[in-house]
Amino acid sequence: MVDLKNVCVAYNKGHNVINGIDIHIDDGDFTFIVGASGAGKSTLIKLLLKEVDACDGTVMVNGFNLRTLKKSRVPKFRRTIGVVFQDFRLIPSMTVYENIAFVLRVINAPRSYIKKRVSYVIGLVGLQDKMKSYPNELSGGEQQRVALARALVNDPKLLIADEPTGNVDPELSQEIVGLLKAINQCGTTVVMVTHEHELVKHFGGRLININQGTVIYDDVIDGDAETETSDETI
Amino acid sequence: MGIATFCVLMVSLLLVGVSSLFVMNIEILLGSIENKNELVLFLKDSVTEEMLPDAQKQISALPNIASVKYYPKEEALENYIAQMKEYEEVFDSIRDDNPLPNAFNISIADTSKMTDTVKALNAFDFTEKVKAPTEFAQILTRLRKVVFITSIALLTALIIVSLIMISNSTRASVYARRREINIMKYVGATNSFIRMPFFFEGLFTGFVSGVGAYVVTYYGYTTLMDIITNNIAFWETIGVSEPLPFSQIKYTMLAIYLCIGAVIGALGSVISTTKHLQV
Repeated sequence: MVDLKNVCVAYNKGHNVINGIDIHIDDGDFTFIVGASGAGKSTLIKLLLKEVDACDGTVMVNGFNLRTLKKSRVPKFRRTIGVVFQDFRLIPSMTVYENIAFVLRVINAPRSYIKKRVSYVIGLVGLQDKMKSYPNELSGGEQQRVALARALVNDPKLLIADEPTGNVDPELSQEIVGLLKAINQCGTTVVMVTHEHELVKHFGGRLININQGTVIYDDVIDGDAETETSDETI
Repeated sequence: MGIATFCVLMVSLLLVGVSSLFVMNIEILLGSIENKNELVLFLKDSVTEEMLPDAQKQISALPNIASVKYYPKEEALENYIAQMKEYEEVFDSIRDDNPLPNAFNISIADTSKMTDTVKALNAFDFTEKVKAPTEFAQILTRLRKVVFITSIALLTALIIVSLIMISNSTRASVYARRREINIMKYVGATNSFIRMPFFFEGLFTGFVSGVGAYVVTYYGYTTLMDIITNNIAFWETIGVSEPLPFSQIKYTMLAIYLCIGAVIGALGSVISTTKHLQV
């Protein structure tokens, strides 16, 4: 669950990048966040990951109050979140299996569990035959699927995807969002930041449009052949 | 961490080691000068031979006394004559009527407390006069203090410089793994978990560098000592003991190198990871 109330974020005093935002995302929701460059999307993601701190308001994520959360508790909080980045951020020296297993090693999971869980998520993203490949041997879409598997491996309550389709072609983009939708249907809350309006229109769902650090649109839109009124808003 | 880090750390350790050896040798040099520093207590003519053991006992019982040796006036005269052989005939005439007093040669343990010891010796009934190089002792005490403070400052500075050098040198290897560190932070790794491999890598590099520095010091120092000790006459001329043999300090040096190497290596690596942990 994400609950932001009257949140402000400022990198320099006097200039708010996020300006009094109110967003509530329930468990199990799928939410698209869109907005032009510099609208505050990335800052919002950083805020949800406790990479930046709010200067005002309330920030509750997965039951953690991020405004009062101590530094020493940040790792515990982050273990409840999965993150997918536009640039995949895979470790080139590790195989697909190792890139994913590494997340569970970080939290000291037992070896037998790591083996079982990693195999499962690799199957989920359809990369069973690429387990021993290195990132540079994979296509963009495959790399993003590895990143997705890595984000899912510790069974997060919330999955944050920051422009996950930014580095892949339109066909693969649909495949990746399709995967995210499937993950969401299994109960994981998904927040996807994107600037690809076509994708949003195609899949539909809750849409939050941010402009100059404030929410200018927040509603549910239907997928594909939906009304033109929502297109204009986007 | 590679060869470069190993070399940087080894050179830093060598600087620390060579400085330590230098300071140790200076200490030995000062110590041997100090040991030459004897007091002479001249006895009153009224002191009889029967009274000597008791007098020696009283002196030995004083604090800061290392040794007491009776120096009869006959021996003093013979030594004096031996030093002035060309005037031997002149001194022959006074052999039967020796004007020199009986004395005790006294070595003290701590030169810095010489004034107090002289005061205590002067207080005895049997003391005619105490001859003591108090001014020289003061100079020596001051010199030791300066050497001690300088060596501590030098070693501290060298350790800090080594730490900075090693931290800079490991920064490149940490930078190469910044992506890994960054991802670790996002998936909930604690700072100590992230630092652990860098810590052990630094520890190991420090340890190996310590061994390397020890080997270089061993061969360097023993070769230098061979050259110096071959010239025994030089040490006899300046009247001090020979320099510290490496065999006497080999374990101390090895321990210093390994400990400092491991600490600097581990600490330097940990410091250079800190920057990348701010996610």
